[in-house]
Amino acid sequence: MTTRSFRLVLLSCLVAVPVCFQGQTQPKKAPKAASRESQNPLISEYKYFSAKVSGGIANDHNRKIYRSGNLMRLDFDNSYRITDLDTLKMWGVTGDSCIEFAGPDAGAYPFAAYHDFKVERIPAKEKEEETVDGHVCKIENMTFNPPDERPLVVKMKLWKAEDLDAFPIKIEVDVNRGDANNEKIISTYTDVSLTAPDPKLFQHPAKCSADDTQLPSQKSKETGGHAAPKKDSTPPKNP
Amino acid sequence: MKKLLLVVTVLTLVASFSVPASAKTSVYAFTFRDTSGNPYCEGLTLALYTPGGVEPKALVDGYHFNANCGGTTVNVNGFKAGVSTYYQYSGTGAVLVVSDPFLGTGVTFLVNTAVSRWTGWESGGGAGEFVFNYGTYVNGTMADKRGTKPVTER
Repeated sequence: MTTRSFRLVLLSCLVAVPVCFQGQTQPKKAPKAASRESQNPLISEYKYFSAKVSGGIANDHNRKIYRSGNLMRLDFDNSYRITDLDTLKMWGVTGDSCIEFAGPDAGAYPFAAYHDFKVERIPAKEKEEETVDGHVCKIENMTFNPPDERPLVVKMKLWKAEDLDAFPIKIEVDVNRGDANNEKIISTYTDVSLTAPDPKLFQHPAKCSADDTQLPSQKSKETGGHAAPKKDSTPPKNP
Repeated sequence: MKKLLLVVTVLTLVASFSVPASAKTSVYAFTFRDTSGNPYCEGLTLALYTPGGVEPKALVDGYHFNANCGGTTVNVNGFKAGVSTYYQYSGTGAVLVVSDPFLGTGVTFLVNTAVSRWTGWESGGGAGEFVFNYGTYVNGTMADKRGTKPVTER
């Protein structure tokens, strides 16, 4: 090959390469909105309620529970705990003192669980009804698959009370880890009210840290973040 | 003979001084209390120790007495390790990380001996960890009058 023809080939390649890549460039697709079937209803629905919860992994007994948007509150004898269902942080408030944890309260389960799992909702069958605690319920089944290689499949069954705007008064979580030892966790909700709880219930003292030994950068990031509910948690009109 | 006795004495003294005083096992025995100081019905007895004088002491072994108010004793164990303040109740730095099978599910207690506080974490079985309770304790109160509520009753 002569120097001239080599230069010609090289020039052809330089011209051809961008053209080739241009042909492969795909137009950017608009982000696909999550369909209802792929959303976890425990996160996207039932955003404003109060009830008494029993069971769950915390094995609670008629513990008062409230939800307002992304915040969930559980009452204790002389204190309360607020879990942020978005960040999965928790604030425990006793009188004027407050403690923050980088983890949710056990009573917020299953609302505070399986957030990154893929959800498959199986629509309730027309005639599949059961009466629970005097409420006629439609049953919805869901399957949760982890986004990683965890050998785990979670099946969730919701008993949705027809007279409570389809609120799940009973939730059964069936965890299958690929062996015969399935674990069933049942939570029940009584005295359900769909009236939006008072936003004041979700406040905590501005100073809410373990002690004064935290780094200044941590303090500015982590304290007093939820003195009032976020904008997007504005309660809807009462049903 | 006198020389031999002197050598033995010196060697004994050297040996006794070379073992750090802190190598002695630390014992914590207490009833769980809530954040207001009210006792639950159950508690932990823990030994923080080191085999062979390895410093710092890191091994934790012991038992959970009157587990779940049921009168049973459950063996527990773990290590002393540093854990972020955001995972423990009002404490910083090293805690005794104690695995406790008393519920038949994954439970880990973080016991901060510097501030006498404990935090109970429960497994979500793959769904993540949850705080089930936290509170205080007074070391040496294992035999004191206990409450009636189990620590899981929150």
